[in-house]
Amino acid sequence: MLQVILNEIRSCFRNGSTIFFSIFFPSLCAFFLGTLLESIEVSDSVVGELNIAYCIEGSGYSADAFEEFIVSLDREEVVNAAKITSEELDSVLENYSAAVKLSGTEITIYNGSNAVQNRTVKALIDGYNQTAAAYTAVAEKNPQTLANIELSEDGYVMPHDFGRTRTMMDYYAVAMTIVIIFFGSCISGASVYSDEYANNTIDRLNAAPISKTAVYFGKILGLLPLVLVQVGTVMTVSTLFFGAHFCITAGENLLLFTMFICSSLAALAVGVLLNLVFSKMQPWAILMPILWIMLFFSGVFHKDMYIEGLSEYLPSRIILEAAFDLTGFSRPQRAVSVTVWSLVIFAALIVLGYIKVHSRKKSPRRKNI
Amino acid sequence: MTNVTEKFYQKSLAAQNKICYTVIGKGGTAMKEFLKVQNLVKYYGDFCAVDNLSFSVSEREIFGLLGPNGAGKSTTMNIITSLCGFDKGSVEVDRMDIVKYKEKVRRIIGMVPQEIALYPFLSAEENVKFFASLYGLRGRELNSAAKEALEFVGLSDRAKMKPKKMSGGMKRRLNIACGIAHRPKLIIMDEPTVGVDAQSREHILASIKTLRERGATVIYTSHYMNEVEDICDRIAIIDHGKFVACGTEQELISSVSDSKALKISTEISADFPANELISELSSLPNVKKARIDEDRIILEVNAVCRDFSLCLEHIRKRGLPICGITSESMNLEDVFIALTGRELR
Repeated sequence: MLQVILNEIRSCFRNGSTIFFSIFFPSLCAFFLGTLLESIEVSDSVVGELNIAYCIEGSGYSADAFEEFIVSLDREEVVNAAKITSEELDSVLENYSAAVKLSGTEITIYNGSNAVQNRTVKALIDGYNQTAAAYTAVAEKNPQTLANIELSEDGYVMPHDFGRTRTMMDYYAVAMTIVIIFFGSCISGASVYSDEYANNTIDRLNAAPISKTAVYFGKILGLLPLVLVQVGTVMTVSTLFFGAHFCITAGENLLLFTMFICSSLAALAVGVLLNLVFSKMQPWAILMPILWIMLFFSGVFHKDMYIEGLSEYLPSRIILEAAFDLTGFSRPQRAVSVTVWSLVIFAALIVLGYIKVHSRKKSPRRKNI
Repeated sequence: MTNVTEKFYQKSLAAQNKICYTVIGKGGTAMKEFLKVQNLVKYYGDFCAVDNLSFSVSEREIFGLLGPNGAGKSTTMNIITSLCGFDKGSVEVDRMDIVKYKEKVRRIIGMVPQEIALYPFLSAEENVKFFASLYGLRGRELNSAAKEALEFVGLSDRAKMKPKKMSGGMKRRLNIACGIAHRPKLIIMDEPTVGVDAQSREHILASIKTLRERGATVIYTSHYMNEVEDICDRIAIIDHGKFVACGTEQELISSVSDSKALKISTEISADFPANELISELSSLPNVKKARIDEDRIILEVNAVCRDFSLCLEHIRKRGLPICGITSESMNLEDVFIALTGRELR
C-alpha cells in the first residue's frame, strides 16, 4: 500500500495543472478579488443623511421625553431634525427622509422613498420605545433607582470592534479556501480512479498481487498531503503575502485549519464515491457545474449573493458561515460542528466507497472481448 | 524451445467439437504444461465471450493467439491474469489454480497491455520501479530489476525521461519493461507492437525471443500475421469464443489446404485449343486442377510437389512459350480467412 501512496503523491505533485489550479490559482484569486473589490466594501447599504420631521400632539411627560430624544439625535449629529405641525405632515415628505408623529403615547412613522432610511428611522424609534418601556418598568418597581442613573450617553454606549478592521481580503481568503476545498479536494477525489482509466494503468494495478483494499486506501491516503498543502498554502499565502487575517488567536486559527481540512476530506470522499459510481465517464464533468452553482449561490464569490431558503442549506455556505463566526466573532461552536459532521461524512462515504470497490465487476468492453 | 529439438502436438477432438492440445516432448514424454485452460466458459450477460475453451501452453513456449475483434482473445487473457472471473472451467498456471492461488499466480504473471499503460508524470525508471514494487520487489533488488528491464528494452539511457516526451516506439518498449521487470514466468502480451516503427518492432520481437530464451512462457496476440509467424511456436485461431484451429504454422496451413497455385505466364492465341491442354494438364500426377486465365495457365498442385517439369514439357509441346512462373503457397492470413471467414482487421 505504501508504494501506491507514494505513487499517488508523486503523481499529484508533479502534475502542473493540479498544482496551479488547486494551490496557486485560489491564492491569486483571493488576492485579486480582495484587492479589486476592496473599494466596494464601504458598508452593506449606505444610509446617507437622515432628515427627520417630527410633530407632537399633546403635552406631558411623554411629549417632553420624545422631543428630548429627537433633539438629542440632532445634537449628536445623528439626524437633522425639524419640528413641524400636524397639518404639514402630508407635504413635508418630499423634503425629509421620514416624518414621525407622537400622539399621546402612540408614535407613527411616515415613511419616505428611501427604504434604507426608512429602516434606520424605524430602528431609532424602536430603540427609543424599548428604552422608554425599560424606564417605565423600572419606575413602576423602584422609582428611586432612576435618580441614580447617569443620563450621559457616553455612560452606556461604548463602541467596540474586534481589534482590527475586517477587509475584503479577509473575506476572500476564507472564501477562496472554501473554493479550494470543493474544487481541489472534490475534483482530486473524483479523478482518483478515472486517472488510472485514462492512463490505462487500472488493469495493471488490478492484475498485480495487491488487494483492491490496499489500492483504494493507498490512493486516498496518497491524496491527503495534497489536501493539507492546498488548504495550508492558500491560508499561508493569503496571510503572508496578501495581508489577509483569519482568526485572532492561534487556537482559533488551528480550529479553522482543522475545520477546513476535515471539510476537504468530506469533499474528497464525495469525489471518490462519485468516481467509483461513474467510472466510465469523467466525474468532474458532473461535479464542475454543480460546484460552480453551489459556490455561486452560497456567496463565496460575492457576499451579497444569498437566496433565502436555498443558500443556508448549501454545504459551502455552512462552512463559510462557520468560518466567519470563528474569524469575525470568535464563536467556535459552528466550526466544531462542521468539523465533526465533515469527519462523519468522510468516514461514511469512505466505507461506501470501500463496499463499491469490492462489489465491482469488470464489465465487457465489446470492442475488446 | 531450448531443450526440445523435436516435438509434435497431439491433436484430439474433444466432445462438442472443441479441440484440445497436449504438448508432447521428445520420446513421447509430456513437457511441463505451464498454462492449462480447461473447458473455460465466460458469459457477459447472454453473450458467450469464451465458449468451452481448452488449451495448454508449455514452459518456454511462445503461444500466439489470433482472432478477429470480439473473438474472445482479451477475455481469455483477462481471465488468465485474473482481471475477470469466469463461469465454468479451470485455469492453472504453473500447476496452481488461478482462483485458489490468486495472489501466487499473479506474482508470476507479467502483463503487457495493448494500450500504453504508464504514468505520464513519472520517469521511465519510476514507472518500472512502481509496477515492479507491486510484485514485492524492494531496495537493491528493485533497483537492479528496473535497471535490467530498461536495459532489456533499450531504454537505459532514457531512464529519467517521462513518457509524455517519448516517441510511440519508446513508450511501447517502456510498456513492456513495466510488464517484465518483476521477472515473470508467464508474460501475456496483447498486441505490443501496435503503432510502432519498424525498428522498434524488430527490437520488441527480438526481446520477446530473448525472454523465452531466459525461461519465460509468452502468450502473444497481434494483428500482424508476419509477427506471429516469426516468433510463435504455436498459434491458436479463436473465433466466437472457440478455438477453430491450433498448431504450428505449417500444421495450420495444411489443415486448411494441401495445395498451392502455380501460375505460368505464356502467350495464347485466340484459336489455341485451350480445353485440350487443360484436360492434359489435369490428368498429370500432383495436378488437381488446371485452368486458363487470359495469358496465364493456373495449376492447383499438391503443396509438397516441387517438380513441375512434366507440366512445363506439356505446355512447350503445344508450342506455347514460358514467359514466367510463380508459385503461391497459402500463408497464415489465408488460413485465418479460410477458418474465420474474416480478415484479421
